[in-house]
Amino acid sequence: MKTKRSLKRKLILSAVLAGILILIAIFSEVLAPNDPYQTNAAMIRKAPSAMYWFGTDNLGRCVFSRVLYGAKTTIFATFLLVAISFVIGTLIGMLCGYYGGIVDEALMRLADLTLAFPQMVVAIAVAGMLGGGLVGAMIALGITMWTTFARLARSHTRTVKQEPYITAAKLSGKSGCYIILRHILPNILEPVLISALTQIGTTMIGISGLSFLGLGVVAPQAEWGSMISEARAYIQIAPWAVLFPAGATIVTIIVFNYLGDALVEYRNHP
Amino acid sequence: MKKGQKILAMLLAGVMALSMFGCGTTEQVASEVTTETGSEDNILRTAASFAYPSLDVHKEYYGWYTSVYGLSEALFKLDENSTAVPCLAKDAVADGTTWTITLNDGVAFSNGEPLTADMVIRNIQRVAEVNGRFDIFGTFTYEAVDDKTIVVNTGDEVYPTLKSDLASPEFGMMDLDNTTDFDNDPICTGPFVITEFVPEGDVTVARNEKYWGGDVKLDGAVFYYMQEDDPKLLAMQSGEIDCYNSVSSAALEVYQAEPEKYQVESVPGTRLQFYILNENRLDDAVREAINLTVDKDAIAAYLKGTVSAASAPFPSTAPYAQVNIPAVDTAKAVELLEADGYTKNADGIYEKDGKPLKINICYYAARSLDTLAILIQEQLRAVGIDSELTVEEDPDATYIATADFDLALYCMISDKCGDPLYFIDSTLADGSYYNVAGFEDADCQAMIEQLRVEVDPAKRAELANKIIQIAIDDNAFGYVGLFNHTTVMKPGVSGFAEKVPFDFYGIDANTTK
Repeated sequence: MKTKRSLKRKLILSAVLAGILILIAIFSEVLAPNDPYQTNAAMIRKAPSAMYWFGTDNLGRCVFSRVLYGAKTTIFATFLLVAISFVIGTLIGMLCGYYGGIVDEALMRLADLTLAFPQMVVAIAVAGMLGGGLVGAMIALGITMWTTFARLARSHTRTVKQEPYITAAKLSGKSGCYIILRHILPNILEPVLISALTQIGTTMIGISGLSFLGLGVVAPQAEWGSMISEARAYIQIAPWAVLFPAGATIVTIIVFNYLGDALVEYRNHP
Repeated sequence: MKKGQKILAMLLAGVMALSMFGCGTTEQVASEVTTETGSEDNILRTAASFAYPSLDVHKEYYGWYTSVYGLSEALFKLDENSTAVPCLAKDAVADGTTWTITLNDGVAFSNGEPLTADMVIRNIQRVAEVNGRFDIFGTFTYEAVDDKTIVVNTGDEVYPTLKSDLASPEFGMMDLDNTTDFDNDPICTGPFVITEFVPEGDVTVARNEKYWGGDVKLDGAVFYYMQEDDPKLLAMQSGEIDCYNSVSSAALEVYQAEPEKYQVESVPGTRLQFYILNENRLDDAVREAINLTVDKDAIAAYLKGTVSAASAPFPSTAPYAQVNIPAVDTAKAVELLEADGYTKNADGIYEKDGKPLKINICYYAARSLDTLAILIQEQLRAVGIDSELTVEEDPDATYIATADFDLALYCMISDKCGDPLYFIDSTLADGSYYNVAGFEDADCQAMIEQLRVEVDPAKRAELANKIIQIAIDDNAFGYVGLFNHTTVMKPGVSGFAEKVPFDFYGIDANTTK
């Protein structure tokens, strides 16, 4: 049986690791030893060295610098997407849960409809139609992502709605908008926020996945998924150009998933 | 209890991992067995980069692949020097507007029916009818003098390229009387016959036992449809295929490291990487500056061994490739931009009237054009021209159709038959398919009309050189690189059209494994 204390330690550890990754992403421009977009015909597919820690790619670009710049693209795109989906989903969920009726029915059936398809399949179709680009990829993933937050926020809103203090607020003549923002939101925020944190890993896989398929970032922007895709063609002669961005993706996803799990465990601990 | 669950979970994970390992081993054994039988039989296995929905020789570009599969043959064949040499026909002789074609003796279809002059005429007329690229053949008149002789009258104008045009794989001969299913089972004259055809998939052929040209060395061949480079490389390494062409630069490096296991043949090809500069959007100075900046030798260095820098749209040895393209001169490019009223802003980018010089580079991610796009973007940026990259899947349906680009990258075969007219007619003639970005020149057009009817090869070359030079001086295009035709084969494999610079030949009667 884990104690609350050990869970707290796990939580702090994962938060520190996630913090380090975010710091790396923020300061990638300072940390990168070389220009990630500078091609060099003399340094094509060179193995890791003191100058190029992770070697060079097909165009002689520094893989280490590209991984650092890629961190910025991947991590921030993920955060932004999760944040937008969180805001939209929670708002819709609260409105549905509080007011109910036809709007609730319509939005929830829409959510069911989007959930009926696997997220990645919808994302590939939408990103394909939008014609590539990071924004297109984010919209494609966001189309199905809001539903998770909406359903969670809705069910919590319905529970909170039964509480006597909501009835009291209603009786004192407060508007629905006021009650939602002032009384419901603070009480449902925690579980939805934790859900958002656990979504980071999946979203990162989604964004990198779309870039890998050529539906994400536009060349020559550094992004882990597109780096893996580009370097795949010459994996046998320059495996480092695939392994390092792949390793970075795996580590980042594990850290954020671990953070989400630690938070859930900590919160659920009696 | 929780600990027990953990141990159970770990055990289960272990079992799963082991079972996966088990699967891998079985598959490996299975593939080894196939490979073993593969090396023993006399069936050539290879990879094809494209797969079409039909085998109708005359339509679209389907004839390219029926030719690669060894099913169809045209009246003439292009050899290593891009010269049309006899195949089904012995010769074609011109006398003004009249051509006399003589068929070879004993030519027969795979069903034993002889190829007659009348059948040839009907085939040519069918090509003109179903393939828009050859509709000019519908304006000629044909006469079968006897079973082996055809007289073609080209009307008021002479038609100097008839012989090499008839070497196009689209003019592969089919038995129009006995073929019942043109899409799936055409009856042709080639050394192989179709045994299994999966539309847009794998194709299996077997030896044509009644081949008119003598013995066929292989028992058959299988063409696996593999679009991407990695599966081809892996299939070659695992022994699942015996050869393929259009080898990528990364794969080339792998093969060259093991010369005892792979033989690589590379000949200068005719597939040209070029770009179109939009005259409707970019003024003269900007276009000239771009052409003075793009460094094709540097680009070729990145595409190690797969591409040679282009000194003209045609292989440099051709008599019609003697043009003068200004060398890279970034100082002059900068001068031109500044004289045109551009000034550098804080970001190091030129701007005019407060508008930064940013061009839209359109490309598709095949034939290394993605690499070209990135390198050109970088080279332009170094002199102060900013750009954005737009990638499309189908260039013909997007930027070529709409002309919505500043610089459009494209790759096409510039020389299909040892003659410059095809490329000039497709890219420079008024209203032509690739002349979408405002190139117009009366002198050039007049010379193109002359080229259409000029018979003397030396004069044709001279005209072509003048025409191409006009396009170069006008900075309408940029010719970047010519792909080498690179083929990799297992030791013992030969005759896979490895010495011919064209993509539309593959196996023939002399192919061995």
